Amino acid sequence: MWHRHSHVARAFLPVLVYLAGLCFALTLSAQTGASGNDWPAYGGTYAAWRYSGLDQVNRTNVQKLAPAWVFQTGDYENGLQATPIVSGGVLYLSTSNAWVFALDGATGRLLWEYHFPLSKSIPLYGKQNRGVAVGRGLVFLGTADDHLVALDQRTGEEVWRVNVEDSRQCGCNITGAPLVVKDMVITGVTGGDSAHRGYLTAFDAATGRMRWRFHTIPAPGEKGHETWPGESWRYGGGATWMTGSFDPDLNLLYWGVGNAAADLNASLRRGDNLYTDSIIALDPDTGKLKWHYQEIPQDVWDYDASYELLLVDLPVEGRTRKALVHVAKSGFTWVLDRTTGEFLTAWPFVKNYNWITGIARDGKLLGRNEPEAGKVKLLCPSTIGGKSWNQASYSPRTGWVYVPVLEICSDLIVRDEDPQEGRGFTGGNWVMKPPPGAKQESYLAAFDPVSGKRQWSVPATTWLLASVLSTAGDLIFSGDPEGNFFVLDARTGERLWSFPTGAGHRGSAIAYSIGGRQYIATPTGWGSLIGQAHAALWPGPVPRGGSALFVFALPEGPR
Amino acid sequence: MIRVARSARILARCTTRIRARCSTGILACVAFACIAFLPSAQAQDGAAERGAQLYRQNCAVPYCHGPDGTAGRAPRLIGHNYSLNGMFKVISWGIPGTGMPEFTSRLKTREIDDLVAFLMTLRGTPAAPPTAPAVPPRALTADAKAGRALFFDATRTGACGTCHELDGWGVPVGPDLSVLPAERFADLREVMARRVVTVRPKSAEAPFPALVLERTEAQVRVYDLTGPLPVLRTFAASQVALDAASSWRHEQATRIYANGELETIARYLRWRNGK
Repeated sequence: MWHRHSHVARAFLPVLVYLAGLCFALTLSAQTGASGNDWPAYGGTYAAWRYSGLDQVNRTNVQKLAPAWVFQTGDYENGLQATPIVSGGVLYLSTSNAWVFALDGATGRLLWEYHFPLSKSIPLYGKQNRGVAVGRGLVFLGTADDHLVALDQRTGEEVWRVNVEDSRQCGCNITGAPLVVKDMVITGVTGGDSAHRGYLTAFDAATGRMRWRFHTIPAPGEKGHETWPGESWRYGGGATWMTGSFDPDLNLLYWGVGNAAADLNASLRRGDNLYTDSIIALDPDTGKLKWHYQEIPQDVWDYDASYELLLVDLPVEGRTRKALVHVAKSGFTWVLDRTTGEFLTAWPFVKNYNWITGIARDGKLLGRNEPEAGKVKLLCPSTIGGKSWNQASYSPRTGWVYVPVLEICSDLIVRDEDPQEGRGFTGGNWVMKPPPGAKQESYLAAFDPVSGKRQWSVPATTWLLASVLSTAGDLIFSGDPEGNFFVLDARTGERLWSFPTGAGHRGSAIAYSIGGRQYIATPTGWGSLIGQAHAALWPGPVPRGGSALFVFALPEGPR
Repeated sequence: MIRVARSARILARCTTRIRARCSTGILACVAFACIAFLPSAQAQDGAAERGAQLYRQNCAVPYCHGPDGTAGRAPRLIGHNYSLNGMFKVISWGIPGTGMPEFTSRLKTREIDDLVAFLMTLRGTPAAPPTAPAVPPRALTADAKAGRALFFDATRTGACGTCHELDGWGVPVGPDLSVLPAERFADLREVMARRVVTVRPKSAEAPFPALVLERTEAQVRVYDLTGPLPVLRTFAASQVALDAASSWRHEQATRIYANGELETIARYLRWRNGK
């Protein structure tokens, strides 16, 4: 269903053919990475580019962009962090309290809504919801009390639900969007800052029965277990809290694994701590590990490797490689061969980093600068990351990745802590601080994904915690905490348009097309764990909460 | 003596905030404190405001006390009932073995004073003590502890807690074990599962064992027991037939444990439900 075009779209075949041709000219993989009329998956497509092949809205007419409709969810807790999914012209949206809405993508008319009965006991990761997955005639939702739910795509009626683990025991829950692969739905869990052992679970989409579970920390007797001394493997973190990617041609499922626990203190876990801070590639049919690449052995900075994995074919040293690009929390972008897991290159996208001095040509970390017990150490980037979980975008038209960068550091304080199952297990504390000798700032920047060369950057008033969308109209969309939804020129970074939506942006914008009309939808409403830290970092008013989806289009009639 | 002086100093800073809540007697005491430590109090104008900023930077980490003092794993601070000196001590030296760090290495004494001044503004009326449980929980014996650990063993998918809730953990799918007589916990493989039925979908799907949660004229909701994690499935009543007989045995759920482990779990359950 991922590449299906509706019958309406056929009328616009010439446009599509032109688009396809253009993309082909630039890179062969454009076909798999660009979304079409729908926005079928969390990252747009399985390749997670957050790039739409639609170009009706472009540099020549973007100034005419105007609201087409607005939908208020009524769930104002923690803002609206989701990526909407569009399938067959219907838009599916979820909120923090696990409400799901199906809306007519052209008009915003409510088709159905579903409210999951959340339990009162919510783990420390809180009520966050980054979106649903749609496939096999079902809509899949993860919940803040650790349930996975399947709804009938037409009616919104519940078909099945599974309590993935008792959240009171594990202290974990589901905040990320699930991923539909073949006849399965796959979900990760939070828990990386708790005494918990992470895993990824695949369920039969139709029945909800578990197909497989991959533990991110090997049990005794399994390969990699030797990287965990004593009982540390039981509570070693390795959460799978964001959404993975899938390469149907290679039949590989990719997922980013989070930090080791206790986050800042490795005194109980001396060793490499596999597979924390790793990219794992699994056989989706069996859940068996095909390869892994550990970015950070024995992480003591809370630098998860959880963020989006962009599947891009890139020229590396004169050869086109099937690559995987990971713009990571640590302030570095890793580029791997996605067939084998081979390290290709890594480059810093932040200006301020001191946790290492660099990365060698073989991927080895150089000059580790670790937090120390009994000392306060200013380390960069902060535990929020050189970028938060809000996602970068890749445009095959420019060949660049667009990253919302944070130049913030944190004072890290280590302390000894005993693990208690399901309870917080950070092994220290952190206080956000400006970089040493530099100002605290945030900007949206374009980078060459192989060389890491910065092409342009545009400063934010405060910081950027919304995802980035790029389109074939050579436009870059994102939003800021002050409530502006804005558009930049993909090639120059020039600000072309903006619209005050009245509430801070922490979600992820998408593009889709119905009846030949291109729409751009963005969630609004400030929230999230990191968003709550705004007042500690920035002067001025606190970003406004809310929970509305704004949908923009060019005026109807001659364009 | 030093401690007393500090208390008075902080109280002085809190005067305006506390006034609304204090009795006359305390007000007199506060007034005295203000006079006695006037220079200090003047110098500390805005202590609570500065403390609020320090709070945002140091304590509001969402995993700790949260921006409003309500969130996270650390104690709720809105409406707390901590003493001034107690807070100063805990903030200064932390609570070893817990998530509460010491702040003496990061904050000046004066800053901790400011922080305490702010925290005093969050203070509430003492809450009624929580109702004591009907039966106070007994301390687990080593053997019972081992049994409980196996019951809720997170390292195996499909542990007892996947289907049974007990003392605040677990998923309430199967019978409530807390009310069963201790002697019922013998060989856990042989437990009778009379409530398990066979669901026969009218689609091409094969029949499966299940526990019925709800059955109305319109719909049937059952826990599908096929896999290691029970699935709550909803069918239109017309889509399925229910058969009271089932070939499902509790042994299918207990296979992930060795026999010795099952005996340990049974001992724990007997101990738990014993007199």
